[in-house]
Amino acid sequence: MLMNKNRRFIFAALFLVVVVTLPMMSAGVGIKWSQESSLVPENTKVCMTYNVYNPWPEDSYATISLSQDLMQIVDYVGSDVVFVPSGTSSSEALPIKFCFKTPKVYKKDCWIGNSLLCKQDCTEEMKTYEGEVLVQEAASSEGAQSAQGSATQMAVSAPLRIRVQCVKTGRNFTAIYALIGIIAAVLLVINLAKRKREGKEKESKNKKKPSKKK
Amino acid sequence: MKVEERKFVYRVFLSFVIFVSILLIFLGGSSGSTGNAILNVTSNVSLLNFYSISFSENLSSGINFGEILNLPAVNVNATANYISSNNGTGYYIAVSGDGNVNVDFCIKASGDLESVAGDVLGLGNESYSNSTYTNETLPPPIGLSLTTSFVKSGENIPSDGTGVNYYRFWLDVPSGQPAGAYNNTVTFKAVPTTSSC
Repeated sequence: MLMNKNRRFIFAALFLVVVVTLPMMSAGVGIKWSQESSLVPENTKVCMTYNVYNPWPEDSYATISLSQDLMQIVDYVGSDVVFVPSGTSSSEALPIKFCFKTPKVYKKDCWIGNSLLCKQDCTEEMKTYEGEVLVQEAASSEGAQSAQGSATQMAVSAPLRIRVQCVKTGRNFTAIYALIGIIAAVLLVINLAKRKREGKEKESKNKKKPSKKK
Repeated sequence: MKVEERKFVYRVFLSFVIFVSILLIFLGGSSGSTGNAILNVTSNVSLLNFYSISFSENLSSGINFGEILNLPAVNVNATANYISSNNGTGYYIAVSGDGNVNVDFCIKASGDLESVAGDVLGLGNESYSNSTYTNETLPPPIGLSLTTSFVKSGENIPSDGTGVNYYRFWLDVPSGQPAGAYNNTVTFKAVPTTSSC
């Protein structure tokens, strides 16, 4: 009986030791990325994919966002909240996609207005948007709302640099060609219409003339 | 040349002009190309980097200072500042061994601590310190005030399974501060080592 009691005590003590020494961690977030910079022509839509993972023992929810400097050119950022199960390793990381369109930032030399008969010499310095991709743990609890203190929030980030490429172009005369073509087409149509009308008049004149008989 | 022949030549000429215009339009009429296209991403750097962090249970639950009964109060300890077995802190962030970049930590607060009634306890009254080891004296008892901009609070924490960054927090409450529960949010952001906050 004494042996049983001792055994129970030993098991209880061992259990307590194991529980106490286990790392007391909450859910976490991780980020994985394969590129930190991108060279994109201006006025071009591009999509990029980053990955999130959670190797920790609790499930987590994450949101992806971009820093302010990048948000000015971004028009779509993946889903709002991503569920990342516990034990999701970096090799199983979940992809999150976001898309953006580089703005028109380089000056064009146009003969008419801002869009006709233009050429681009690309003499300006390359425009770069630098910022970071942020993965934040979505708020799951009210934290210290009812007590005196601070709620806490965690985020991981990866740098991202978007360099906008200027594409050199010669003067675009498409508008002139189109105008000449249209003028020529109009003249041709007028000419053909005139010819048809003249042909009809001639025909009706021939019908009216009586045939001479002797 | 007779009139009819001249008219025929004229029509042929106009047709030729229309044909050449269409041809030139399709050929672009200029060198190079405009950038109005959807492209796949073109990268000039290709690296595979990854890291992950997690809060301790105490840090995940929030930084609590309990009830303060007497004012002014100076350097009120957060409740988990000396909670672990060697009188170390219970506030820490661990870096997973499933990672291949070392990380720096950045910290900032959302703003002043505010009560539901709108009373404000200035952010300058909330301070912290950090270290990569914890016992009774680490992180050190002298802290820096939190700000609303990110600042570094722990650098080059490894991703080899041993990387941990410990924190302690304190709060000052001046006399005359109205009673209430004051709150804000503190954000911890990890960045690859040598990146700025």
